[in-house]
Amino acid sequence: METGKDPFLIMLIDMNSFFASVEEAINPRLKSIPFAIGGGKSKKSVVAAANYQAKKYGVKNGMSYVEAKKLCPTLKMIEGDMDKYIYTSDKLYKIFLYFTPFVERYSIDEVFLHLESSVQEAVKLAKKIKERIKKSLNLTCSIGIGDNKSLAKMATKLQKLDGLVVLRKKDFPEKLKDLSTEEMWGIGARTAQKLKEKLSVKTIGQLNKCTMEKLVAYFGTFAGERIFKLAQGEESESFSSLHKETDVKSIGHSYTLPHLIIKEEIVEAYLLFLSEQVGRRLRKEGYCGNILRVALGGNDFDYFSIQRKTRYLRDGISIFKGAKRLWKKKWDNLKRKGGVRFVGVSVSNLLKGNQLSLWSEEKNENLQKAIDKINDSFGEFFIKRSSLVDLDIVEKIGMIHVR
Amino acid sequence: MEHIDTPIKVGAIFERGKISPAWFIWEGRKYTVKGINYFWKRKEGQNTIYFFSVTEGENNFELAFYIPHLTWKLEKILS
Repeated sequence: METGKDPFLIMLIDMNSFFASVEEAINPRLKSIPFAIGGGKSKKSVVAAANYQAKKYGVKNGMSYVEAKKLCPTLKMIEGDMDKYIYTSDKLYKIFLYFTPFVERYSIDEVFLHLESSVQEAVKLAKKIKERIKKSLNLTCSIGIGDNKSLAKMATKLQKLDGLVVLRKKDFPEKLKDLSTEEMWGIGARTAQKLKEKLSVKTIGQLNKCTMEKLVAYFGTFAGERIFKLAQGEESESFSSLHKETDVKSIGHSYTLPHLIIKEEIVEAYLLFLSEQVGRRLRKEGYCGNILRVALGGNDFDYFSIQRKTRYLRDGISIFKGAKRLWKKKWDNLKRKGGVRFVGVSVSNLLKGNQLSLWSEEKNENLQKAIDKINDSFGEFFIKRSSLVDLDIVEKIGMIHVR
Repeated sequence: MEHIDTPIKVGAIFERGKISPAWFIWEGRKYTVKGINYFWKRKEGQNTIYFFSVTEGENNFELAFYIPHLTWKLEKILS
């Protein structure tokens, strides 16, 4: 029996089939039929989320509409509406803030809470949170409690639907030892495959017994050490965001793509969209900054972040031009490994006000002001660059993560 | 799901900062709202649109309240 206060605990709240559950709450009739959320019925359309009825047929996120339909011929495809999901995510965030200010929004449907409490108190709190979510939004969630983010995340995998599981370091890897390494947070399909092929490691239990030297030899220092730490049940990421008023240090937007993107022009369109978002926020909040950073993620541990000092920036197109130069350096490598899955753009070293250096920029600034005014009145991206119109990514990019 | 997108007459209760549609008239027929399944809102520039998924027992409907025009629309019949 565990008593007394723990130094701290992490709770992960993972909304069950979030987009699909919101649609079911809106239209309860959907509960009895298999359906998926996506961009429509075109061949290019991808399943962004599936409900439990559809999952029974093997329909998974990231699958093409055609593939999903083969598995489940009665599958209904519903066009996603990000407004509903973002609104619901914001409501959930407010619910969590009612219980603690230490909230890290990890994604649109996953939130970490940092708790200073005993396990019993944490479990009690988890039950209260579940009740509140059910009562106000008619949604369910899985809650994992652990000594760190990695354990909390893996705890949610032990009881996926409406679950509540505590996973302490002392119980690791015992409770998870027979699960595939792919079930481990931070280990993707490719790494799991390599572990199986090169080291004959299939389960979390086997991975736990691997030495760091062995993992470093196969995966390199960064990835090898990281896998080793994860396999020991140790912290993989620090708790990065608390809800408190602080001076803004950087303004950034990032987006996790539904699947790996191999086309250069599509990745660039996402970069442009994110750059425009960053520029708009910089101007709205009255900042400009001269450190530009681009983050790119591919398969598994292929994550790059490149930054460089620039002149002071606050307009989308200048940010995009700089970002484009930076990302090109990593493109070939990412392309070889299967493409891009994550894109992020941020500007830091912020100054209040504007630091214009050229007359032409002043002209551009006036145009930007006019566009901002129109977008303020008629909605975000009412006026947008033609490359974004063609690619039709505005709707899909609604899942952006705002830092 | 059927897109309707037509202005309708709605009777609603405004109480303690909350809006609850009570009934609506569409094509001459009055529908009594028996429950609100879900609520969400969307900003379009300076305008806010409030959406309600309501049930009249057998059917579910999506209603929208447009501010600042103070107009209601039947957006969809949810099936």
